[in-house]
Amino acid sequence: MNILVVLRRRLMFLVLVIFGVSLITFTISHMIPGDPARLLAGDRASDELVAQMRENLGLDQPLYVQYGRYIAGLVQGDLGTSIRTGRPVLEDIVAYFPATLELVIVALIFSILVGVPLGVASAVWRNGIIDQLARTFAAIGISTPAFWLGLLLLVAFYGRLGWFPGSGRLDAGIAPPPTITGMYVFDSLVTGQFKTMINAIWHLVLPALCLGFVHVGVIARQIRSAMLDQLSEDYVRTARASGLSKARVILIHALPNAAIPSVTVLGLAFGDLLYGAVLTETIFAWPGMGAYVVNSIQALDFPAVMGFTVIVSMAYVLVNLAVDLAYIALDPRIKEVG
Amino acid sequence: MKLQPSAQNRPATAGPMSTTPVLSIRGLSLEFPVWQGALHALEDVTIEINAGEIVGIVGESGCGKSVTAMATMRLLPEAAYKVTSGALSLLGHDMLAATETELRHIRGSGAAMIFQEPLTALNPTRRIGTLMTEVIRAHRKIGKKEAQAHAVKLLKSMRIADAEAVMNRYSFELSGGMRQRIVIALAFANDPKIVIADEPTTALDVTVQRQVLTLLQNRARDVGAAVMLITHDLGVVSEYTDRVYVMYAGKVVETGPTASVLTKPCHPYTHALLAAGPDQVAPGEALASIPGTLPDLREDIPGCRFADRCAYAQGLCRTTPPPMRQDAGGQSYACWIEEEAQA
Amino acid sequence: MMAAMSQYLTVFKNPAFGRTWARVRQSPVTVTGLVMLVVVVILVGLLPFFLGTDPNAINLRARLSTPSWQHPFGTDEVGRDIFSRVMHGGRISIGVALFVVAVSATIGTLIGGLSGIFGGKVDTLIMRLMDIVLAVPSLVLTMALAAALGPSLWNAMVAITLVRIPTYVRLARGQTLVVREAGYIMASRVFGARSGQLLGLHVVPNIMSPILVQATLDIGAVILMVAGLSFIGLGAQPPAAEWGAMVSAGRGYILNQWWYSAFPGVAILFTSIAFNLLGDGIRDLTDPRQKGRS
Repeated sequence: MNILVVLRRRLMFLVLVIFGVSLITFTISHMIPGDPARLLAGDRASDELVAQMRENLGLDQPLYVQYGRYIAGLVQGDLGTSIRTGRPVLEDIVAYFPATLELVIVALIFSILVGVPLGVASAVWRNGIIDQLARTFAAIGISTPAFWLGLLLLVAFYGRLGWFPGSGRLDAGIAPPPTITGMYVFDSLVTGQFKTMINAIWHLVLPALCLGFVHVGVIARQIRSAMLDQLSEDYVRTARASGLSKARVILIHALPNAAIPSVTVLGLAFGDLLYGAVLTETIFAWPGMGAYVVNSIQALDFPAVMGFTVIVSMAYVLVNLAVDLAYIALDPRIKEVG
Repeated sequence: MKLQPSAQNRPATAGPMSTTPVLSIRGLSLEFPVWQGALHALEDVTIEINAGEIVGIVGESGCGKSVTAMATMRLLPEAAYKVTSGALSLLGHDMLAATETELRHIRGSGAAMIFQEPLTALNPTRRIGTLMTEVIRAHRKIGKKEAQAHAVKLLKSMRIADAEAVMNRYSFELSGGMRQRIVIALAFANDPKIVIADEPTTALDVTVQRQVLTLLQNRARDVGAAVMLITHDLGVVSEYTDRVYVMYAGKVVETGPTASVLTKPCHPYTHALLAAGPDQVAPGEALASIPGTLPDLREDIPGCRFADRCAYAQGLCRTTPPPMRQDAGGQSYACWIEEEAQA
Repeated sequence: MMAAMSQYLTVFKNPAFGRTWARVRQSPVTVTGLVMLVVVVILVGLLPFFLGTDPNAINLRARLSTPSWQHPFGTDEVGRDIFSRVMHGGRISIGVALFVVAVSATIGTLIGGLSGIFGGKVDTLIMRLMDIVLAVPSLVLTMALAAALGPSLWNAMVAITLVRIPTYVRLARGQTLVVREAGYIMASRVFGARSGQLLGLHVVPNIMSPILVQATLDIGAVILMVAGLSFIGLGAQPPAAEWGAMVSAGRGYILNQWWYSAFPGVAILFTSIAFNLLGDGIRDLTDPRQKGRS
């Protein structure tokens, strides 16, 4: 498997995906009754104004012309203009993206930190008490509505106990750090604003816990299954027979080998995390893409929703591409040929 | 392969060298609990291996030879089996009572093990050098550099030409014969007193088998290590071992010096094995030339376990297990055949 | 000819079926799932008939009251009994999930089955298309479709159904190819059976078990999805007593009247766990290789 071949094939696929996603959502949004021009102009606008509006937006053109224009814009990085904010959709998304990314990354780290040890323990003491608990936990995890869990966390840790803040990325009195990545924890760390960093982390705890919870189970399941495969391998027996400690055999030999096939699952989980972010951000008033898209949905701001979908799909395909490349890099058995 | 023991392979120093055995299994019975019962995998097994001896354990698959090997190193999954009686002492350690720390010190150091499948016996994602230095440093307090030098030396002793280059390879990049040599080098990494080799060459083709076994034999003689060589192949037994234990259905049925057991077998099962010839016994199959099948080890077998397939079986054979008896040549066997003849 | 046909019909006789119940009883996961499901069916399917209460009955004097014997789950801001709303709402949530899964599984199986039988260019085209849809994060795509269609429960159902179809197409196609290899299809083709008959007679019965496992696991996911969409205003609209919409409605009261959002959420969690456990259990039973693996 040559990395360049993989890369080229996957990037062509990415183009297809973006094309497909935009086509599906575009078609459906224009098939349904309802007039964006009237919506934009308002109920009281005169018919002439609406017609004018329609012409301005190009809505009087046939559907394929409209789609052609949309695609032409897309190629140039133009996702259209948000009806709600009046700004280019791309600009909005770029502004909101770092907050979501920060949340997703922290949630992912949390779920890995809890899920991996849980999965390993589950596999090592298979069918034992830890295993039963971990499996029950995983089953509950994938069945938990994230928005409901968020509300419960809010009641308990913000409402009753007051341990953590319930909304936003920073306390009202604290200024955001200078923008480098737009992720507050990272930016404040780099610029040495530790007070800001602590505060940003404090704000991240509940949303990340809420978003990561579901994936703790997903990751634990995957690691458990991959570890069981590895622990039954002959090399584990060889390592044990060579007098290596149980901990060493499990952590240094079996776990890395179990982690290799598991990275693909992380890539797939990324898509669910992005959707989970939509719900989580709504609850914790987290100013990210998710909150943006929910506001857009409620305002029937379709260019924004479509832009969000296209960008997220793109990010998802790219992340999975990166994951596949990491897979090739991590597993020495997959060699470059030619 | 010929059945006659070939003397030229055996230096004059062979045979028992000290009175304390490196491995002593006495009357070991072991079972695997299964649904509503137990599978009696080993029954009253007694095996003794002295320093420097190469001892064969031979039998069809399912006779308990691999279980014996795994039990010796205490490598069977702890929850899966139960020792019902007997004692097992490896290098003077009571293996049945050893703690995890004790086991760690014994395994890979005083006692090493070689497994059947060289293809999967090495971690595919770690380099050979890493694997070897890891095992070396698990048992010696030496630095990385020193360990690497030792590893290269070990590889060279297994006649691996460019040992330095092999250190940087992954196991899947190497041939089966090469891998098994590395596995053997690994087994000898910390000057073992005994090496347990469980069908070490079954997965290899015939020409490579001989090379690898000869290397193993020479290496063991050089360092004075005993070898427990588990095999289904009588040719291998005859060519490489000093003494042999023949196992059937979880019991030792005959034992003695290889030469005399293979030329003058006492037990009908050994007879049948020899009659079948070395090429007849494929791994994982029962001997086709002996009618009948292996007994169901979940059942209690009152008499001799071979009785159902034995051409000489009489009344006594089906009611009472035959005791082990010794003849003048140091050969022992568990069979009622003489009593039956007298009766 | 008749003899040959009857021989091919033995496909239907699944020898494992008779033993299934005995095995179900030995699987604690499956039994737990089943028991939980029975509880759900009793509470949601039967209890509302006996109670005879109106989930939309307003009682302003008893608004936002704490859980009590009279109102086990408390009441909402206009004094509606949350317990009876949760029980009634279950019929919407579960009904919608069953409907969505049934429709998407049927359509997906038909497309995948036919695609597998025909093969060739049509097959390639269909599978490429499905690959594209599957490459998009499904939950986000569902949300976008639901938003495009406009906020209503029906539209949310359509969106979820559409996004669920490709999974079944792929599954059914894979299984169809396996069955096709088995030669039944070839033989029937020789006898002049048409594709529709092929699908009905041979393919469908053979691919049912993986599809059923997938469908059972999907029910839990769809319940969550519907609730999630309702929560952000895309699914059921007030005053419908749908679980997600109820959690959403209780949001504003969460800090003081926790029960308002909490109990509908418990209902979602409980039902979803029931279906997930059942799906896991059925998978273990139908695919012994996977036993204890997940």
